[in-house]
Amino acid sequence: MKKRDSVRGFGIGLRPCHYSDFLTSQPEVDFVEIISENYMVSGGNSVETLKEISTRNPVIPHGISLSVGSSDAIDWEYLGRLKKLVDQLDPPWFSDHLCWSRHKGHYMHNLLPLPYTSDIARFVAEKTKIIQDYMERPMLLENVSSYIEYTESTMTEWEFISEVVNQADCGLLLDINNIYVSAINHNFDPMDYIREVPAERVRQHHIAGHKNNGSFLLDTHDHNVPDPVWDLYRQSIPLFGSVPLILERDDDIPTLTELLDELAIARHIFYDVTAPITSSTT
Amino acid sequence: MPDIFFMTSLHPLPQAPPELKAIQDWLSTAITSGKFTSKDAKRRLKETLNRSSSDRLGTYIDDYWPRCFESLTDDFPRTARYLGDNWEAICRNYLQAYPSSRFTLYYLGREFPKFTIETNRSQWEIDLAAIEWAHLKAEISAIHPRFGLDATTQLWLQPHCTIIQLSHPYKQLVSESPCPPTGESVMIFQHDRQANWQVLDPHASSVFELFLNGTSLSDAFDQLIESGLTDDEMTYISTKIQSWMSLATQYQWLSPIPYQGVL
Repeated sequence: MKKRDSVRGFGIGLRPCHYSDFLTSQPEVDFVEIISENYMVSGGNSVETLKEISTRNPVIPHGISLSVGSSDAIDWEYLGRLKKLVDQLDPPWFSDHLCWSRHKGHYMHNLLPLPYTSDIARFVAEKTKIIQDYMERPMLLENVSSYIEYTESTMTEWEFISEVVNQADCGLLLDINNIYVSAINHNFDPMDYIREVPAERVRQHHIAGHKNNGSFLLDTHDHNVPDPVWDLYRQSIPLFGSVPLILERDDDIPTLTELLDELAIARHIFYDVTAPITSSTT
Repeated sequence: MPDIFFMTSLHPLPQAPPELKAIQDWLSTAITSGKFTSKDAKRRLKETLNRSSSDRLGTYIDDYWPRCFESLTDDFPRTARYLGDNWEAICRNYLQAYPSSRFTLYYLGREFPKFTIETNRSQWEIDLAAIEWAHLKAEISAIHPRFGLDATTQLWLQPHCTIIQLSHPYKQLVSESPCPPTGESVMIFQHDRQANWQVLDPHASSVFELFLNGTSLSDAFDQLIESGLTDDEMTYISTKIQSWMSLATQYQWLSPIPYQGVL
């Protein structure tokens, strides 16, 4: 239980290209996150390496294929594999996305947004409760970036995500970059989103870069975090306080040193915003 | 995968709202086939000032196909080079016939060798696809630990092993040097963390194929006798079996753990 209570601070999405450097340099990170599915199949990455890392840093499994928003039944084979991984790493929580990626047993290999209605929020919350019970561990759902909005939606994304996490009694992994990308793509104020989600359920942040495609932003995780996303993070800190943050990078991955330098920006912003608060209360 | 706990929930599973099923039916078809009408897109998806509903849907379509195409090209590089300009169309047809049914792209090409046979591709293409998938399978499969071998132990071919009856010589196929067909049996397997290969005597191939469904060495002999082999053939197998089993032991081809595929 000691490890479960100790996740805070700043970490990185650890990718296999950095394993060796990470193990030898033992960098100053508070925790790391890995892509669950890469460790759930034959030929995947080595769980033994993760176990070694988890002796020093909590390792959070973050999935991309749970497809909790799918109208398909729950995939128990997938969950069995995920539970085996999660139990091996013993993290304080596991996470996946509030989206769908599977339909009628076929995978789209993408994080597709849901129509935002009360019926669908109730359905997804019920599935989330079942999954969380089975996993015997807290689950966080992450907001995805999106490029479409359904005409059937009757509420905003932040109203929808709030309904789901409140009804499911699960945590929220709030991705600051995803909010920014969707805000530009769908023309809303990202601060409306940040102000309206239930702050007490926000247990983790993601931050990342994206690509500007001219008429829209694409969530590519292949660039440094741009200034508007850092600004949004800065504005969110007074609302959420000390929430653990993971810097994600999945393409054009820089060296571990460069990634850690970028993570230092997040630390700097956090301490810059919270220092006056701390000093005024002491 | 005996150590994985499968269950059905004790909770009643929620019924998906009909409107969710309907939108997922439509959108999954549009993304995987690339086919939709702009009228439908406009009815289902909101527009913005600078992007139409169809443009917005196109972002997902433009992501799906390159992701799958890149994965298949990585898995079948020789086949891709051989087919040249036709490769993309064949991949599209393959994905229509065998949409991705696993949560990872690792196994997207699993049915591709079967697809080349079903669609009557040339024997060269069928051979190439078979060896490229066998290479991948050898590289990604787990190897069960070594064990003590005796004649009565029930054994299975290990997941990293594939026996292929090729119509062309293996060496010509991997060096991408087309040649006239001459049959050859090969075992493709993992050794030193890499895909390796061994040409098999046709009788050795018959023996090892028996282990696909699990058998003991003594039962394998009984099956060979019952299969109608001549006395000369049985004598030949008896003289060779020890060297074949030495190969199997050296390269860990057999295991007492039942074969369960690569996933």
